[in-house]
Amino acid sequence: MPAFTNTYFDNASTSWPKPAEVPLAISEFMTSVGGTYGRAAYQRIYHTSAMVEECREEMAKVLGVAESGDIAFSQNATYALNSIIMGLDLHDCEVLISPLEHNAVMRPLEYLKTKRNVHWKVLPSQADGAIIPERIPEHIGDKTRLVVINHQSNVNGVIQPVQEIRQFIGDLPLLVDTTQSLGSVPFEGDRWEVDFIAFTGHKGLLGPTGTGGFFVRNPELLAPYAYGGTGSRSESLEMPMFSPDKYEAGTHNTVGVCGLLAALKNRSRCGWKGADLQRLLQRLQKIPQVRVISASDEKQQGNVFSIVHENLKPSTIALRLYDRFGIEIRSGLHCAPQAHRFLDTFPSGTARFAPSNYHTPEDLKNLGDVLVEILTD
Amino acid sequence: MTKEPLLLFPNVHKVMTADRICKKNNITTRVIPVPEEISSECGMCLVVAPAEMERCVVVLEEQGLGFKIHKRGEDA
Repeated sequence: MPAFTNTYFDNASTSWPKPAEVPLAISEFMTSVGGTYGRAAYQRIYHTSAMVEECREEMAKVLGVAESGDIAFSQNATYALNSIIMGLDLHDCEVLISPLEHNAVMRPLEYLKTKRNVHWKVLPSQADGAIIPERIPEHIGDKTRLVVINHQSNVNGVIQPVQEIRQFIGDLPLLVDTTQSLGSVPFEGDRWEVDFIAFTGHKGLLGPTGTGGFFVRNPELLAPYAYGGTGSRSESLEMPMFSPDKYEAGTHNTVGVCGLLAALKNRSRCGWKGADLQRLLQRLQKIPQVRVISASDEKQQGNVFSIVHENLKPSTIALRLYDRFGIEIRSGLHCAPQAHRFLDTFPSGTARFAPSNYHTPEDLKNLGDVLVEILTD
Repeated sequence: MTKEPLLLFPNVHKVMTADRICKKNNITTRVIPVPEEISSECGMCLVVAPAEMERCVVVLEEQGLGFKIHKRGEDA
């Protein structure tokens, strides 16, 4: 049996392991610090408030934006995406989306279709879902109000050309979901003129679950999604209209933010290269019954890919890998039925693989060995 | 230090940003609760020694941080 550094290949669901500093920071915070954010001025709260603001600053660096005050924390990227999609005053209009959107985008849009006559339309793309930027203008109409792009698909790992997409959508507001890409794919929010960026802390950034948030370039365009106490303008029954308070009602997840900050300050380097992943994909492509669901252009391949087999269901592949080798992967639709419909893998879905920074080239080779064994059995 | 002038900001993010900038420039600050007699947008404010106030104002304005100065005993 091949020796793996670790058998966890489900990092597109949540990353594991985390940098050793993350649990240490959380433990230290819970044991010795505590306190909430900005609700008083004694030292405990001062330190916690400074910690949250330091994390905001670090997030601004990762997102490639200068104004950290326009970054709001939330419990995850789904909440962040809902905050943006529901917070914009969308009605009787059209939203352009990538073909590989997650339900975190599709379900809010479907809700708006029913309630506010907001319709979505898929942008032109290659067979793998990679958007063709120069063909976008012909799809923009009088009613188009927003463009939503999943930066990296959580099914086939396709990375979308955000900078080029911006060049072809004119002044339309652009929302990018960086859930799968952030931490492994560079992001330059200011240079690419992205209006809204949703992120999660627990995937590529290697932070704890329960952390995420969004960047909003112009807070005047976005209403609050949740209402409550902020520690500011407390005399008023209305939410403050300035960012980030406008979007941060209620007590912050200071434990989670503390862990996220530790992750951001101790980011690990990826232990394998794109060429190692390409070798694995090419090897799988040679198995006659297997279809590899990945990017056509290797430059657009992120650290996620899927497979389907003519005779083995995705759940059978996942179960065999786990029972025989302890390999942990996810099978099914990965909360992205729209992507699977586009890729013609609906309704069974795929068996999905997502290595982490902590895997090695040898791990990817070993994964290929065990896959060849179970897929040709 | 609570008799010293207060620097008022709209929110905690700005208070902590100002505090960090001041410390980086060796300006001594203290974060205190905003006194009840002041109508402020934020529950925290900064106290800076009068001798360092002028330099503090220059440094914060250079960074584009908006704030109000409140002298104790005056209405906000």
